[in-house]
Amino acid sequence: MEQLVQARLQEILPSAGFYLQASPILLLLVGALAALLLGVFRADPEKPNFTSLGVAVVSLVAAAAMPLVLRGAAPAAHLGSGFLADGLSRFSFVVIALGTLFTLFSAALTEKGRQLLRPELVCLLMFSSAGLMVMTSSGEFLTFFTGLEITSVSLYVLVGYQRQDVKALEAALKYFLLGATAAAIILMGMALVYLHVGSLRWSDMGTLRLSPDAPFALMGMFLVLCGLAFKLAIAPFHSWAPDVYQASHSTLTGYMATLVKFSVALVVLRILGASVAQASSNLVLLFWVLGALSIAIGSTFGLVHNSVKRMLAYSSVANAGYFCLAFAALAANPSSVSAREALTAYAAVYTVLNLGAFAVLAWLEDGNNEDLLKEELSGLGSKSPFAALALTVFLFGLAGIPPAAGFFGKFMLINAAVSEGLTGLAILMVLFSVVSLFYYLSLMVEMWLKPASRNSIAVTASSDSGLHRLLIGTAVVVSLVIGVVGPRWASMLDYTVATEAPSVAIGVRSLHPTTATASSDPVDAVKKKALDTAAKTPRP
Amino acid sequence: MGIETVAFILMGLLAVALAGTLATRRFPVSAAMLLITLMVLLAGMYGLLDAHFAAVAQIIVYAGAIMVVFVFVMMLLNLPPEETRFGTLTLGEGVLTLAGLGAAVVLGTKVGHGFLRSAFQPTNARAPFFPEPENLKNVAALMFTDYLWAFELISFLILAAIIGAVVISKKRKTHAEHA
Repeated sequence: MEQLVQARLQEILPSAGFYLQASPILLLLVGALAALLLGVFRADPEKPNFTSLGVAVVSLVAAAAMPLVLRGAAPAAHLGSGFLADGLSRFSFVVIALGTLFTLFSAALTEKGRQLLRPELVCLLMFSSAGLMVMTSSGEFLTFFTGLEITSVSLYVLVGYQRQDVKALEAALKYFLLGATAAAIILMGMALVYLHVGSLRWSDMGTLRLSPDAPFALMGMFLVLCGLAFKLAIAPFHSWAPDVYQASHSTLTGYMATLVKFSVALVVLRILGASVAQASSNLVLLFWVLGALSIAIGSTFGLVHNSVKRMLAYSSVANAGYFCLAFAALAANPSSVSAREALTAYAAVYTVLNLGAFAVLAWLEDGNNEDLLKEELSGLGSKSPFAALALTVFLFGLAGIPPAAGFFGKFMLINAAVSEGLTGLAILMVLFSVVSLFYYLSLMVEMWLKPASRNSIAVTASSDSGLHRLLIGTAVVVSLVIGVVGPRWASMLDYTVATEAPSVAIGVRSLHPTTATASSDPVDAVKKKALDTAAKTPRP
Repeated sequence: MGIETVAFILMGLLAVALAGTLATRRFPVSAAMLLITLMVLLAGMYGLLDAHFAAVAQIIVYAGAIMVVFVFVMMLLNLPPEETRFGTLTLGEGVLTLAGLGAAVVLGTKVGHGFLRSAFQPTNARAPFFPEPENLKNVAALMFTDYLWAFELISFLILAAIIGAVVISKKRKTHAEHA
């Protein structure tokens, strides 16, 4: 038996390819530690530390570049199924690294955001991004959960670090308690799924029959997906989002509202696409209900709010509902390519648009209220046309109106949903998009058509720098270019999921009993072979 | 029905009853003491399920370490007894509580009913390294082979938690001191 473990260890120990492919994660983790240690040499820990920022920027740029360099590599699974090096993970690495870079720059360029640049907080932000990468590249529940927790723990602290602010404290506590509950729900679901399948790997879950006859599988999957819906802020698990988004600093809100959702959406894509080998009407129903609720609540509740961040929070709830169209299409047909393309397209487009919108808000909040009200934007078009124009582009994008990005994403989502027969959900999405257009437009009316009043904000000269314009201008250009040429990456991406090479050491019990011969247990045969090879291979 | 099944069911019922009692205690310390008892009961249930490692870990980690920290924090904060809030249950809260309770009952009975009816046979997609009674060896072997990546990443999770605890609890200069 000990030889068996040895043989398995030989298979597991990572090759050089692993270090190359996982370099974005490793770079971020090492960069985070370096950024933290550099803080030791500073006299005043409260001040922003630009050396740490430099280290973080270098490692993030390298992390974004590595997957592009390695983009031709064949899909391969490393460390069991813990790390899948395939097109989807490389794509997510690029988006997460660039998004984190954008967040850091946006924080560095605003007065209030610079609090975020204390070395320990830079370190936590990078840990959080590394956790997201671990999540999107994992092929089994345990590694996924570890990544999720690394991200969540870092974010709980990042939301709560402004402790003099009662609202931020309340938001941090709410986020922590509800997030911990969601984590517990996911864990319970994982345990039930494990009970049914006997493995945590998503690739082993071909036997998962999601019907009332298999109560553990059904409830387990149901609980896992509900926990993930919490992380995505899909209604009815959305109530934390407006409070937390409103109370944290806008740069951080942008990070939470985009990259976390992007990564969790990709994880749901992996679980639905890889594990549930056969179409499941139960899951379609679940996503139908979640999606419809989320789209309706996100689109209508945003109308009654006056705080711009709360509006964007409800907009993100509605957008999470749009993700459900792709999820439902995937649940209906797990091999659907159009659903995969729609999800990767829309998740990335949504990330660009919301990161940009929150960066503009962070800029406007400098020297003003932490929490902008709608009226305070009045007359912005004449005072700071650039900021108003940028925000308008992002809002048009979120509303899905053509030259800005967002239109193609929604188009692909509807296409994917309709081709799987989910016409009702697609109609709901279109109808409520019109409703949500009302609050996006009301913001634009405030900015462009209303004259400046006593309440409207002052644009401070300090933050209105060329660099800041460059940063936000980049996001505007990116979203316009995507809007014109369409999300090309979605169709270019290789959606082949990396799978583990069959293990000689432990073997996999045949998932299809018809192919197994009754006379000899295949597992024992493989094990014998493994023992032979283990004896032959020299120990290092 | 063997003695083990009887003991398991008794422990389960007792655990549920204790959990209900501890949620309604006014004094935090008595709730903590009930929680310790609950942890020990759970450990007993794990032991009866042949998960001896989980049973011992439950006692050492939860009933031991974590509960000691709980009690210390309570002593440091010197918490007053909680005010009972049952009088102020609003309609919305009541409806949501009922909905949650209903969902829990549906989930619980569905799983339980399915379990009883289908004479559930768990599939085992990955055969364990060591035969049945070897509990700890299997945990160790899996931890250092199949779940090596997760195991290494846990160290970063703990580091993030440590940094977070320091950030949250560190005394900060007030603005008056800055000036």
